Amino acid sequence: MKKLSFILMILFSVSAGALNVSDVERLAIQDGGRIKPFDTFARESTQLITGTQIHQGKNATELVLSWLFLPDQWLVEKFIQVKHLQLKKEIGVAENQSYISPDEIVHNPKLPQLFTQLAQLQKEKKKLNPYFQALSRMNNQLVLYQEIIAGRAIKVLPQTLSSDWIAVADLKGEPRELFANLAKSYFPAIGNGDERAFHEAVKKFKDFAMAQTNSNYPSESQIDQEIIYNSLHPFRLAYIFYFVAGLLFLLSLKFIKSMPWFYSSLGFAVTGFLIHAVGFGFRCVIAGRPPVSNMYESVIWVSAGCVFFGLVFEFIYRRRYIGLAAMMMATIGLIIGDSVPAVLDQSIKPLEPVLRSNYWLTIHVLTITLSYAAFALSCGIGNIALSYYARGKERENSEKLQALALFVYRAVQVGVLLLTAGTILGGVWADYSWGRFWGWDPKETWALIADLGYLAVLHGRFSGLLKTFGTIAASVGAFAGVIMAWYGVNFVLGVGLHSYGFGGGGVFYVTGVVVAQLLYIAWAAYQHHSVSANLKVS
Amino acid sequence: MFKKIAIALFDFFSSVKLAVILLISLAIMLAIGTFYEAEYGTPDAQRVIYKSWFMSLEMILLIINLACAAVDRIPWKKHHIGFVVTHAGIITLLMGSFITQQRGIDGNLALGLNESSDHFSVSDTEFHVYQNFDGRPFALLFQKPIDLDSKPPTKNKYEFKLVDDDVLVIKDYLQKALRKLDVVPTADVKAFPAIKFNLANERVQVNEWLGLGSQAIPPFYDLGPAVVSFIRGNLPSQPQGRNQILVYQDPKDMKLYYAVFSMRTPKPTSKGLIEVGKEYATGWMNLKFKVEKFISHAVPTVDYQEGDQGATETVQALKASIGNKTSWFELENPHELKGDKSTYFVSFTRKRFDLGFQLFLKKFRMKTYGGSQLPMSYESTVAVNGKDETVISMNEPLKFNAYTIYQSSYETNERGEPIVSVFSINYDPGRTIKYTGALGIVLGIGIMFYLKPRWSRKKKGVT
Repeated sequence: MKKLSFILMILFSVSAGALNVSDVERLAIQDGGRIKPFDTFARESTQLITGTQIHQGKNATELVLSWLFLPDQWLVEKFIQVKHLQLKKEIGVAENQSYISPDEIVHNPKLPQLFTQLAQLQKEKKKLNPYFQALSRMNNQLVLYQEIIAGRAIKVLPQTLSSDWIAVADLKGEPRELFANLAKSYFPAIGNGDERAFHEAVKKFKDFAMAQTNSNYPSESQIDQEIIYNSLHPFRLAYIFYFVAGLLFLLSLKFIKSMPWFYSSLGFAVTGFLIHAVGFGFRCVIAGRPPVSNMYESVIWVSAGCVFFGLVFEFIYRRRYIGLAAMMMATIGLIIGDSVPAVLDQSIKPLEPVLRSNYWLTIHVLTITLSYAAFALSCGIGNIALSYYARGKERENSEKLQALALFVYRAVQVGVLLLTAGTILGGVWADYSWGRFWGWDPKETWALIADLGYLAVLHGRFSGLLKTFGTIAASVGAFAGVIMAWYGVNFVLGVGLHSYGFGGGGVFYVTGVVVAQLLYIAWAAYQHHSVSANLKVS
Repeated sequence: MFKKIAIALFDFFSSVKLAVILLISLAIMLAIGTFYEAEYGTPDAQRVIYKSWFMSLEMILLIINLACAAVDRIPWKKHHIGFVVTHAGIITLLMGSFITQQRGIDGNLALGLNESSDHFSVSDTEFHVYQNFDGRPFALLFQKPIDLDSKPPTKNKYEFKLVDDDVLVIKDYLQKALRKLDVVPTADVKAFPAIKFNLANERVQVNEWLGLGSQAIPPFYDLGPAVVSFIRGNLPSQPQGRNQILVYQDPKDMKLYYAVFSMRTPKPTSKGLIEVGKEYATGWMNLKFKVEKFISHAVPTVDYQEGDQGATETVQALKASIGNKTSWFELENPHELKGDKSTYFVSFTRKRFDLGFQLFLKKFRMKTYGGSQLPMSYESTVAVNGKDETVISMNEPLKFNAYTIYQSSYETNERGEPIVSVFSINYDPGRTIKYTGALGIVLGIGIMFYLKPRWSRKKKGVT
């Protein structure tokens, strides 16, 4: 519902006579080591500064243009997002206030000293706590905003002799005049809606930029790809389909056991998967590499893998639980990927030197993360099975639970094969590029720990230590190892050679989820125990 | 009786339950190791956890368990193939790793531009003592490997007999030592004068020694926007062109004076006699200036202290003494130490290996992504034995003789230009064995999980 009203709001604001900036969105910008459409640059900038890509009914590009051409109007406007409570308190911002103005930051009496402290910590390469992370974000927001209004962040013109593009502020001669025309025509365009001169000026500037000899100006189709990708939100669309498919699986499981219901749920799942795959494909083409280089991209990939395995298993066993579990995990994954951009950075970034090997990146990282997908699926199926134990309904469902334990076991087997192979491939890559097959780096160590955990489950089941309940509970519990290897090493430990994926944020919530999961297992175990005890007594 | 015990032992060592216990205990141990590493750093974690005796014990038990479990199932049937191949693979991999650990070499070589080297060093340390008497050149007395990280001198005795009853004792060792410079007065009237100044406002706090005539103590301190200088003789008549505090000792009355110059005005904005311990306003950024100490004849002394966790620019240093003469020795910074009759040259150094060829660094290039500071690649152009020019980059090492040379990192000069390329150099006789084992593990698991259920289904179908 919230989503719908949100979409309506956008439509409304567009129809309310906003400036048509589709041609500006298609200008190319050099930013963060990449050439990207203005649209992408604007979305990333507004995401950082305001926390959203649409602010006060203006889309990202309109917003950035407005900042650039009408900086005075924004001086006391509250649009810079601040979330951290302690930081708000420290700088004297009311707790219920989520935005502050550039003026408030610049003239805040406390901030200069805090920024100095921050710079000191960063110079010493100390790990930042959430408070300083928030402060660092505010610093980045302010710097980016100031660079935008000064025209230094917006590099619009390729050069003949250098790979560096020229920023708006440094334009000279003809291009400077062309851009000045663009700026001049902006005011009547937003004032009385006379946009003709503006669009003319944008076109002239773009023609000039594209005509630079030796330029690496992207082609129209490259720009198209990225703009479509930006506006499509394929992964958001995919999780809506997954969510519906999940609901249908659940209904077909509980109430309407007819095949058409089952097939329609499969239909939604497959459609969602295709959208997911198309989005992934777009990102591959735009980035020129498999998109598995940061946390966000891995979450997208793991969700896709989870659906893939779920569909394959569903095709083999046709038991609906697997489909339900896959939809559940993929929906959760994609929603997390979509909703916390401050933690999971969605922007496409160039690769660190050591990762610039598509061959190794593909086979090592994709294999490892695909194993996470199989384990996520086993965790999902396991949680569905645990729900029977938790509700004390295991006796009437014992056949079902045995089948579920088998699916969990099979998913764990797939995961173990992929994780073992992926970890070894990582060793081979490390040996090839650093001369070290195994160095007890935290990332590889945690991959091994997760693997050992699942190996213990497999051996436990093989030896009869783990029966139906044990297999399910232990497999679900072992997913904590995957969480640690996947998220924890980069966001909690923050040491080691895999530093390219390091980030901060969310530790509290992830820990909470893991603890809740363990408590759920404990509760199910307690119920299982009392049911078995009753069985013995009777 | 003996047979019974042997069978019981074999059953224990081949049991799946032992496997589960080993897997879980290993997982827990490693998990602790990673947290230990986050807290205390990689070298300590490697020493205390990953290369500890209980890790070796765990590995040995694991190998015994894997072997016994495989032997237990003899005669092997078709459905055992996956299981046996996997277990043999793990044992092979561990054996290969053992060979790497025992016989492999993992070293480093930092090469400056247009420099060449025919050797490299590893992280193992050695202690060398050379002796000089009767004016002859220094001759090697002995060289010994020492590992002060695992066996610190506080718990182990390090005494080396030299000549003429001289005994060298290692008294102390700091793994993360911070060099602490201090300046003390001396009776030597030829010694140089030194001051300790303090420059501070609410945000900045600088506290440094300045001296005239010693390399250890420079005569000026550059803060960027301003400089503090200690000069000889009188106040110069020329304007300074930047924000500067000049401190000078008047040759007539031997008293200290100061003068503050600002960038814009040619004449000092303030000047006067310095009273030690008294604060003077500089007029820039609310900074206050003070001379805390003034020594007219000073000598520098160096002392070492253990740095905090996460302290940067620390060095490894040991304290050695002969008789009543004591001195600190930093790693790779050898110097003399006098005994009663002889003079010794003491060196605390990393162990070196010969490459067997000359490696020459012709060029180092750090490419960045267009319009940004983000590094894209690091490339070293090297020549082997004066010919065979090749480029070493990340993911593209150079293999020569038995060694593989990898691009590891680089060092820059003050202007941030890369001038030194750091390679890691590696010799690994266990590589083939490890790879064979790795292949076995993956193949074996694949067979176990995918082919075995198929075989057993077929079997069921037949019967």
